[in-house]
Amino acid sequence: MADLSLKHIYKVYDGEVKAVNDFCMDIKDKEFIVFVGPSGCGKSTTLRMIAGLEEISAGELRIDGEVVNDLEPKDRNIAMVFQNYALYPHMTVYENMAFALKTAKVPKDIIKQKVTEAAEILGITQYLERKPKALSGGQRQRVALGRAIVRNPKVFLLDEPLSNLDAKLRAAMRAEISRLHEKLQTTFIYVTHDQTEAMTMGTRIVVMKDGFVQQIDTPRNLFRNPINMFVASFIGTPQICFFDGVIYKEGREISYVLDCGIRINVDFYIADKIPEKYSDGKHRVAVGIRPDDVRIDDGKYKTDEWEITEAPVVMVESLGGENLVYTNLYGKNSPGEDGTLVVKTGADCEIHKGDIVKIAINKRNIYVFDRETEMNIISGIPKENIVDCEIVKGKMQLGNNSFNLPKAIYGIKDGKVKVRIPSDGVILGEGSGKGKIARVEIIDDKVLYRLEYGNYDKKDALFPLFVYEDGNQCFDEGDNVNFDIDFSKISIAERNITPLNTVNSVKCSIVKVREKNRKYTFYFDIAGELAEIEHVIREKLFAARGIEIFDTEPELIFDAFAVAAEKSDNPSRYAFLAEITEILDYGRFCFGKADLGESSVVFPYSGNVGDTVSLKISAEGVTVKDRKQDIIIV
Amino acid sequence: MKNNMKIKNLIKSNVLTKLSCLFMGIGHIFRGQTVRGIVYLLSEAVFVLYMIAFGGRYLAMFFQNFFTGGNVGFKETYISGEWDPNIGEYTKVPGDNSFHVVLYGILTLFIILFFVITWWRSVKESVTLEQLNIIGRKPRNFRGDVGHYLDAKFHTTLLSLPMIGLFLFTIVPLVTMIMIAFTNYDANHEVPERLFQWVGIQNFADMLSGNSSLGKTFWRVLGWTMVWATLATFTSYFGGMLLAIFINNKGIKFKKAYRTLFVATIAVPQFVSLMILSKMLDTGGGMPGSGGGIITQFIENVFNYHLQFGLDATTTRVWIIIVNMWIGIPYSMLLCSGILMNIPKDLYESARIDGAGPARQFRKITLPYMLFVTGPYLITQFIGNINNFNVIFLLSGGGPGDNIKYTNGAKSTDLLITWLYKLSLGTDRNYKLASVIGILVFVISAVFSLVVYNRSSAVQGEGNFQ
Amino acid sequence: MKGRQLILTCLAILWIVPLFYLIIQSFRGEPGAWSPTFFPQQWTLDNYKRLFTETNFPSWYRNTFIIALVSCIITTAFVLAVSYAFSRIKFKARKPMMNIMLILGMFPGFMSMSAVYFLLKILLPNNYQSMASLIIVYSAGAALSYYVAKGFFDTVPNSLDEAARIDGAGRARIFFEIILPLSKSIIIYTILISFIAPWCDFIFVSYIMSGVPDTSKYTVALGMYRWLERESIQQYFTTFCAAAVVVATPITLLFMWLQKYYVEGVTGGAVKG
Repeated sequence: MADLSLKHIYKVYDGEVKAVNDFCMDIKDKEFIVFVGPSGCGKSTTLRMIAGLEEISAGELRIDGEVVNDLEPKDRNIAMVFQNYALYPHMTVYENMAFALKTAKVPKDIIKQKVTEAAEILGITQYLERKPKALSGGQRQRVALGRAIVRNPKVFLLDEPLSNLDAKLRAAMRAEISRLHEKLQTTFIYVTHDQTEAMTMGTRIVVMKDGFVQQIDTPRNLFRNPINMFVASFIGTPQICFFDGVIYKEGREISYVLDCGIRINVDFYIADKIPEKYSDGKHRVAVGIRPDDVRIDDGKYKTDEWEITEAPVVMVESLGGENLVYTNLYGKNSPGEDGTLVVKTGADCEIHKGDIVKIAINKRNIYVFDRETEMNIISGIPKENIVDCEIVKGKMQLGNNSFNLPKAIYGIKDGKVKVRIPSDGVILGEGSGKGKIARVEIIDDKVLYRLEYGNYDKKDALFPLFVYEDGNQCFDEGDNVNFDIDFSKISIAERNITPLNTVNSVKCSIVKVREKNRKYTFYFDIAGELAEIEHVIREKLFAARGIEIFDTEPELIFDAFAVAAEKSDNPSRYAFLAEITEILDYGRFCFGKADLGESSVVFPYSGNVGDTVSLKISAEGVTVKDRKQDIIIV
Repeated sequence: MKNNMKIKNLIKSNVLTKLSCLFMGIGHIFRGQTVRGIVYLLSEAVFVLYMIAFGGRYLAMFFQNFFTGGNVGFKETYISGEWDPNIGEYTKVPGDNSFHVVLYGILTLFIILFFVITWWRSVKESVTLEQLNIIGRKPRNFRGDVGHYLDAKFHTTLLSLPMIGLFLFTIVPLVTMIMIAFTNYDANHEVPERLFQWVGIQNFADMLSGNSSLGKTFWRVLGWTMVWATLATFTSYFGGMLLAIFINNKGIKFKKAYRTLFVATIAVPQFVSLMILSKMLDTGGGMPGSGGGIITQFIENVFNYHLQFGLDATTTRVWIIIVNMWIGIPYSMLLCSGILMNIPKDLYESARIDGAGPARQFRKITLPYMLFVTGPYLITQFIGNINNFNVIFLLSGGGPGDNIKYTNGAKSTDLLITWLYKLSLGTDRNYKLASVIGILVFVISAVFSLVVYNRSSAVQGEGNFQ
Repeated sequence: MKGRQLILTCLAILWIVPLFYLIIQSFRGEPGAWSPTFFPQQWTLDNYKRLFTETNFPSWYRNTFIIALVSCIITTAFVLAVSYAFSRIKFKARKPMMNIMLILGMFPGFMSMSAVYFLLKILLPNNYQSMASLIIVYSAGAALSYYVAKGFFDTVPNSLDEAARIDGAGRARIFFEIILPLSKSIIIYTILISFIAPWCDFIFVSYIMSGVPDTSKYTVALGMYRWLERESIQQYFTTFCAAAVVVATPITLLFMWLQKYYVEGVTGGAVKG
């Protein structure tokens, strides 16, 4: 019955070791969230911060909209289940479950009623008078769950609750916890190092490593669109197999070339997503193939969907219901070496060590990672599209479409250029461009459209545009749509056109001024230019840092669109005064530029250079960062 | 709310806060923490009164000659020359009591230290209160304070009484006695009649020099103390371990009964068993009607050997160690049998498969395991034996005496600790030497445990279980 | 195996003989400190009768009992409080305090007695050679022996505290309602050790009571020690034996009864260091 919001949560030990870094997440009501990662990745620490067992070093934690950073665990309306159950050994099961209610001075008859109810849900009614010592591991875990249930918490926190149980019991309890989640209709947050648990139970999974969130996504997306090699290898059993190689491009044909010489041609739907810098044949990449996407070829697999190759069998593992066949694409003969590719087969498959087998690899589900950064280069949302355009007389030709250049970049030389258009730089549903939605993907709460324009087809030398939108999907596959280009976001290297940086960051300090009525007012001070701090922000600042806020060196970070600029010599008390130094007209939007302290800021404004404007930064759109500690305060 | 104050904030603070530096708690009283403020203010008043009425004077006397050497205290007791007919003596005008000067001087120094800490805390809080006031937050009220000390600050509540006890009856006396080691406080400078003087490290120089008779006595006593501690520790430890293994043997019947029997000897208060043993070993000392204790008589009758316990140094020492084994072996047996049962059985099984006999099993498995586990226990036992007052004092009383080799009341089986006892009580009162011995015992214990702890493999990090 | 059993029996006899001697001497009829025979020639109960009618022994016994009782209550409370705080609550001064206490523990406890004596003289000016003084001496420094109990608390899983915190209990409640009920063995160990200490102590009581003419203020250890001094041994030896039996019996039974906890405490302490 609660949603949680974690904003820029940090855990810093001894002022330097960051156990959790900038953890941001919104958890909706009734979600089952799983934190997963290897030990020491910060998952338990995060959970314990939510529980209130560890102090939150920086950031803001809200439960049901209320900031709970400084609340005691008991006041957060949460319940927690521990790995070792943490049952009070000297109390009976009943007393264990009743303890929290007794502490809260709930009347005895209500306690009895609630405990009995919870015991019934979990089927432990007959053990109520026993001590925990007399229970089995599974029963103890149920009691621990019961202790949590009776409190009617808004959020259930479970810290590796099943890792002390044996494998069989674990599977049963897994189902039971899922059932409980359904029944209680509450938010669950579950920590585990076991990816099977994560995949089977979570509605969304948070993969963490070394204190950083790697990816937050549904189980399916984690499996199919892992953001980097770590997530790819962490999720899925048997593990994904990696092969080093490069990407070759010939015309529009793109293929992965593994170091062993195997060449896999890539489907154009995927190929289009590969950023251009990788297709030079030199950039090292790691190609990932999941055992789930490999078959032993019996001749029925077609080459347009499957890549067929031969490899020696190194080892065969029988799991009873299925076999794992370890082959080696590099032709090496011992297990555990580079080039190992695991293939799942049926149990009746007659393959033995030393055989040479034909294997089929599903081309649609091949993963490619940058060898250096280990980031997935085709999953998720392509950051930008690089398209060939022609500039003709103040117009930009893109396929059959023609866009008027805005004033800010008007007058550049005619000619053919490559234009980088970020994926959020295309606006669908308006403008003069005409195109067709060829494919829709939902990735991480965002909708990704493949927009084809002009007479696009496979052989055409034109690229599609990838476009994404937050929130709801407005178009379906096959829709014809109008589109426009946001010129403030594009860049053209040949013409020295760079995107407009709309994220402003300004150094400031916080000062207090004593008024005549002996009360204090607080200001952001940017090089002597004062603007009063709005109440909301002020309270947040004080909540985060208390009186030490006056000793910190904050930096204000805000988007251009969070600024309301008005021509005026007489600013409201929450606004800064500044003089326009430059006007940038991008057609759809017109921006003003002004100096504020040492840095210059941009904001939507359509007056003239030299105007004196008052700049009011909206409270919702501003982020305050501690420059010294590099931590976001608000 | 964190409490890191910067001096800058104090300088920028308002009058009320600055006033709180002078009158602790003023700021609290006016900013919503009335009770806390009153407690601060009262403690300042008490402190000032204490210093004026008492502490200041003693501090002055304490430091008067502290660095230069000389009298501890201003004036000595003197005979006034007036005849007091009631007691038939000249009236004595009491002077200062040097020992009190040291004791109260130390106490006052600690009180000043605590006051300064409290003062600094109150100032910090005062500044915080002002800042809280600025940002419009309310401070914790008295009820909140009480709750705070039962929850977040519960350790303060838990520790306060034990620490007051520790401070008053361990720390202050100990520091006082350490100071006494730098004076010439002895029977010739007896308080309250006479003052004693600061003498710097003179006592240490006397004690540690190899030439003086005192120095020779010290080194002899120290030597025996170390021999005793080593022998007593190891005989009991290994004896107990062997006994435990012996009883633990598969073929032995009535294990529990044997164990209980041995444990009974620990359970009897030590002073009872030691005193009865000392009388059993006694030679009778020419007292009428006897040939001495029952053991002495037994040995006399059976071996025709006259036991010289309490008369001959070596005999006495040997028998003290034997008696100590009688006391110590059941004790370490009790400990060892607990640990023996915890040695993983598979270690022995694999050793047996490898063909190792019982002796080899003991050498390769039991002994290393026991040493590993009980390493820290051995250290405490060793230090405990250095300070084993009871066994020596109740068995031999330190005797036999030897006026040639020993001075200042020490006798041939005295440990440093029993010598210390004799020096602080009885006819040979010599507090300065007692303190010096105390400090040296500390140094020996500290050095020993530091060395062993650093080498011991059994040093385990705490909190492994959490 | 027979041989081993025999050796063990011999050892057991060797160990029990002094205690046996003590008991039978308490029934000896002939006077004097030394008798030429192991077994008395005349058996009697007079020594016991005399002990309770003609000597100060009953008041020593009462003194010791009261001192032991009060000081064991204070000591146990102090030790549990300190060890819980050190084990569970990670406050800033924790490590320095533990180190200081470790160092303090290495000074011989007796060294500071003269100063303690003077302090008691100030605090209890009319009554400094009394039970109250001895109680203070035995229990004021109890905090120093936190180690064994802390070792025990360290083994109680921290998640119990955390579960209780989430259940809404403050630290005080956790201590009293969760941790203490779980610590039976260590509480009994602490009580046992601190209750027995005053019965066996000689060094402190002999200092505090030095020069007290009224022997009825003594504890058993000091009083009985005086009996065996040269001047009185001839007269009091058999009485001493009777008194020893009276003192040792309850203590021994108590110890044997609670032996399990004692071993747990000592082994725990030794193993944890």
